Amino acid sequence: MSTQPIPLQDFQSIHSREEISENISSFIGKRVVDYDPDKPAKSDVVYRFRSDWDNDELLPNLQHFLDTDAAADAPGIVIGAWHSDDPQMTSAKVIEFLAQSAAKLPSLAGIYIGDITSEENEMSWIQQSDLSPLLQAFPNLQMLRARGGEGLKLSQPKHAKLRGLALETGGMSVEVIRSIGASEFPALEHLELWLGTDEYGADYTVPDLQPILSGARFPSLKYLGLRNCQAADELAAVVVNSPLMTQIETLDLSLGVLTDDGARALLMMPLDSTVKNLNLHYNYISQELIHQLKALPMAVDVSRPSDLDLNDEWRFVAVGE
Amino acid sequence: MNGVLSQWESKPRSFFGLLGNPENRRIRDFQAAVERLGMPRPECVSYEDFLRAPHALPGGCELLRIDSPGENANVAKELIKLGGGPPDVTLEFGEIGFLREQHLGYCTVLDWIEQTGISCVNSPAEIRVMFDKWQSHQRFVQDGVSRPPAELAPGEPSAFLGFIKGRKTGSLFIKPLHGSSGSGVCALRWAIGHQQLTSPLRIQARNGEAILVNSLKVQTYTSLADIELILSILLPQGMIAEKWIPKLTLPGGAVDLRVLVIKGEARHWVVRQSRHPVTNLHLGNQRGDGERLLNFIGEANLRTAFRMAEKAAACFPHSLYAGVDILLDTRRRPFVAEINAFGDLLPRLTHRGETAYTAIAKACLARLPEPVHA
Repeated sequence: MSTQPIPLQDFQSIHSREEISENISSFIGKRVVDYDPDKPAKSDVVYRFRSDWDNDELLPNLQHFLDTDAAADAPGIVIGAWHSDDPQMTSAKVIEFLAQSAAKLPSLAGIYIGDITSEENEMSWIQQSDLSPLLQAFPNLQMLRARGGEGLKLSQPKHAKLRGLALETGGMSVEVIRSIGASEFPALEHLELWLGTDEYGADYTVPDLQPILSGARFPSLKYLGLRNCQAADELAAVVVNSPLMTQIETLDLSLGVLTDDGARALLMMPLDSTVKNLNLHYNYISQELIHQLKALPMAVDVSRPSDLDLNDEWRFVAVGE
Repeated sequence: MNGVLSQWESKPRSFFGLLGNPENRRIRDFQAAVERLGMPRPECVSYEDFLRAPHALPGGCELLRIDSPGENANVAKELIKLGGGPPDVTLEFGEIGFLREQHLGYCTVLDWIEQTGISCVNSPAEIRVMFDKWQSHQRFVQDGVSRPPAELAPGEPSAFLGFIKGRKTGSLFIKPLHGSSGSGVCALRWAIGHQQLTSPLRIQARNGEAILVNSLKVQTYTSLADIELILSILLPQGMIAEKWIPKLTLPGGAVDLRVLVIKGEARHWVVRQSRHPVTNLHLGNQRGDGERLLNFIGEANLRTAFRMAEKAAACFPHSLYAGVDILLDTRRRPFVAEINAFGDLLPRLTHRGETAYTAIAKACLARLPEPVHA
């Protein structure tokens, strides 16, 4: 089964703050549809499997799909709420099930574990687990996306072909950051980390990101997203000095607490920077600095939700809870 | 004036009577809608006057429309007194207090109306039930209307907090039995090491005592102490605890529907979208895009949701209209979140070319067996 390369821009699922509160409608460029065992399975869409408040059909439905002819051509799988009525249940079981079913999913290019809205569970309460079994079971995987920081692990961060890795958390552990800093993802083009706040489990410091920012590990990287970060200002000051600035096309510091300090740092972007897109959606930057940022020789997104209170002494990342 | 309406032009002057708070747009808009139908402007008796002189209903009117007593501090004060509360209570602006007494007071007002024998657009007895979420719930369940599983919450805070602490996880909506407009509605969720209560309310101090006031901004409380405090003020006022069914989400957030059922038919409807669990439109939420919802869930599912709203309204056969809030779960199955006796304030929204008030006024006229003056 030949698998087409996923266009780089299709690795991103969530662009704006608004999109965090809805289930995704597309993944790796394909439409996402809730799987309905009563309808014939198709292979031109990505199915979402999830349990509901009053039943737990996730694994039975997934098994049902695996037994259809469409499974062999399935381009992606989205796993929604797996915990039914128990938000403490981890993703370990569904990850194990998927890994064991790899033979039935030879075309699988993208996996999303945790398309879960705040209606279903708070992002920081989602109990993740080790994602490595998926990396091992799917050698042709191009995109791995996961939501939820508690219990999240990449015990064996290694994959020859993985092109996109996105980890959405309300607070990322230093352990995960170190795993990525020591990873072997030579083909990685899209690295998206939602770093969150210490209130919700972020126990790293900005220097812990150095092995990632040194760039040596990611010769193919084109998109770097360090999103939803409480310490976005401090991060910006370090990021502009990263060798990656003369390698990547997109720098994404959106959804975090980026203020004028961070904006000033970004104005120091090296002259030979290859960055073409600077995403600062959801920010606390003043008009004056926004003006200056817009003069940078790149496309700068400084949009923000209308309800963001710039004068509030408490400044929040887009997703804490 | 088209032919259908002209027959009503000869109605006696006082076909409609209104009971409400005259300063409220509900009254003005309904009066205007009736005038646009070519009828005289209906007289409105204010709750304030009616509470002073319970026989002051519009004399000789054919049909009384009972509107909301809300958003008027004096009326609230009188209702609390009538319902057995303190005689001269002073509530802070937006304070959530004496809900039970206020409700009992309003029930007395509804009794008075009933005793006059006047015909009402919505029956006072049914309005009374609609303002009791637990009684409404039981009626719905009995008639096969889909509802989230629910229980009457204990009025004793320690009993409820004990229940929460006895379970390692849970997610509930806790709503005042006699509240409206999302006031005091709490989305509560807890797991080991976490708890969170989201509600459009703020904790305020008054004379060293904590009170709760409505907030236009939905707040999230995560400390156990805050949550216990909030519940200890709300629970004694009467609450229903419902299973929190995760809502369907669309671009822009979770959705639910307000469906106005008039004469058994789902008519005006609006999608409400929110990034937090309380979807009432005045809380910074927005009207969603109906067309988008239709495309997303399909016509059959939308029709099923409308049928559910009609079924809920049918539990109140002596009421011409009701606003029914429908939530859709992630499998697009409809559930009745609540029914609102005064759920017809839907400004600018039209259905078949009519605003909600015009549609209601016309339905009232059509309800008459024969023109009064043949």
